[in-house]
Amino acid sequence: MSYQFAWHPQVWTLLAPMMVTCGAALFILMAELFVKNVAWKWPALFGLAAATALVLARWNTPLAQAEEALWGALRADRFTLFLQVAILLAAALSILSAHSYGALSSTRRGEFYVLVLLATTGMMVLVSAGDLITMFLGLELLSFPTYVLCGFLRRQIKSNESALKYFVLGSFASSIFLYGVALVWGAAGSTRLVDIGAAAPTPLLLLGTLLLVIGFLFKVGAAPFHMWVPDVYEGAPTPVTMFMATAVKLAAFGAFTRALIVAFLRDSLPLEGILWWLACVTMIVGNLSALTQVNIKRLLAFSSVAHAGYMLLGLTAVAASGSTDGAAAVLYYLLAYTFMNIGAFTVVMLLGRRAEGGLLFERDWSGIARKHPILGLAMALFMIALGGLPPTAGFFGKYSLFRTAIDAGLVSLVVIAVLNTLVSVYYYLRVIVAMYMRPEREPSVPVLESAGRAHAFDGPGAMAAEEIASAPPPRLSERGAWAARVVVLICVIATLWLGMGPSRGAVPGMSRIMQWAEDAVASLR
Amino acid sequence: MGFAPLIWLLPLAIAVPILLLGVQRLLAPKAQEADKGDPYECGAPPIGSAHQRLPIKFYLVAVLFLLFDIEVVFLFPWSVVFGRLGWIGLTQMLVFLGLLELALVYVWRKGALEWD
Repeated sequence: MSYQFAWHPQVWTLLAPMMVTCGAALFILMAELFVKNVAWKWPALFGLAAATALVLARWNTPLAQAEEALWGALRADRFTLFLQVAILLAAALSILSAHSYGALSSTRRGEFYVLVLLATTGMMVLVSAGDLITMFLGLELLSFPTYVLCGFLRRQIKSNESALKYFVLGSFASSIFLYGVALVWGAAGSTRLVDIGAAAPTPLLLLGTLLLVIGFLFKVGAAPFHMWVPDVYEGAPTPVTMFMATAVKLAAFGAFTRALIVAFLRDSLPLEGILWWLACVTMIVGNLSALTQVNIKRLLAFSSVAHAGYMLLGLTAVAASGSTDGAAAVLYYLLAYTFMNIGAFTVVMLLGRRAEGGLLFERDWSGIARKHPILGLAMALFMIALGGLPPTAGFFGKYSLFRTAIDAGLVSLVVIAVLNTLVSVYYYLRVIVAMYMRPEREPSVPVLESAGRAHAFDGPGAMAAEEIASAPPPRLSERGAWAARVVVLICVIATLWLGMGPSRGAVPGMSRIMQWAEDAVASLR
Repeated sequence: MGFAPLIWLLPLAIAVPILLLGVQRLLAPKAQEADKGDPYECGAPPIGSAHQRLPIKFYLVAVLFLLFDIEVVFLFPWSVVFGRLGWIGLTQMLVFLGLLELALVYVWRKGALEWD
């Protein structure tokens, strides 16, 4: 027997964006060995921009022959393209932020960009995968670099803790996912999503499906698989946190949505009830836990759990009604969430002292808006957007999610979601209140002691505890940090534009992005 | 379902270790001596604690060995069907090896192969 490779020239078009990001990663990895002191963000950003251009150029070109040649392992539909562009954007914004952050740490080294680019490649594979094996490959390729990135501040014990926790729990989740793949393959006789969608529903298929769902829920940080989120988000370097909170979520939710719509959402598999409870529990757990947080990174981490719950609400709507409007709302929300969250984390990075210390907002953020009025205003906007108030992206994201859920008849779940939104507004406003309505406080001695402890493991750059006590370390925003300011500006514009941009469609004010999201989801079937 | 026989492996997998451990407990001669608690060191009397710190270089070498060992593992099945894969198979394997060589260059230049 001989092996037939039905290779088609279109395959190169399909693979090109991933090859570009992967190639940029390898280029930086090799070049960094021989050249020193280069701003590696430029080749990284160039690679991301080139990949984005290659993805966008395909919007009107279906690559049917290429999919055929790859046995459906990778899909070239608009769903893929929408998410790939969003992922590339999130990666580029994180890299820009990391450039400013690098002034205080080692994130200007070439390896940082290599890892971000490799993780981005994995995400692009994950969202385009039409086969469970390819999906697993993408999931791992995105996970491994992320584990390392979490521990990138290797002299800080928090960062190490973050990496270890994420690695141990993440590899456990990966193995559950892989077990699910094995069971589904045993039940359906194929790992292709299309074939699984046509397979007879057996208990074995249901069991495998549930294991796959657990794998995805871990990656998106939905309750009850969210325990790692606050610790990992807190300890990781802030640019990595924003990368994880946005790009990883985009990729995992994208693949989850595709798997549900193409393969697993059928009347014979009782997923609707499961998704209903998951959405409900995730929203409540995320929001109630966020209420008591005093560290702003942990607050944003729990808020990201809550947002995963809102997005699960959209998927529940898909399961309940069979209409894909809910999935389009999820895509729109993911994009909106990306900008709001990257913006918020960038401001957190800029206003934190010595990058990691001084994140307790009641204490360290009091009155900060007076000294940094523009950043304070931006942070207020992001908080309002995350809380879901108009005229921001967050409002229309939540509106379309809740709207599709009501159309699907999930009125009680929407009531729970609205109540949760009200709860969330409280803790988002707490940040604004601290920034604007509290008197500014000079860092007091206990603050500095804790700052000294947090950096006890900081290597050559670490200041002795007494030195810190005599001179409070400057905020990142006091050092220029132009790249992060550009990121904040982009995120502010995007958050407002997604909320008030050129309208199209039934809802006035709803941005044209919604149309693209609907096109993307329509291409799935 | 064709998978039902697999379920029978479960009681078997539980029973076999219980059986083996139980039999040796019943049959083995029992003699309690202080020396029996010592760790086994090829018959030599153990010296010092087992909880010693080892240089991390051993770990690095072990990881690098595994990395390139796995590379060879992938070569074996490939070599069996090499003839039938033709040029595409050869190209793919060369790409794979090329990527691993990049890793080797990286490890080399980073000084991970230097012992001191």
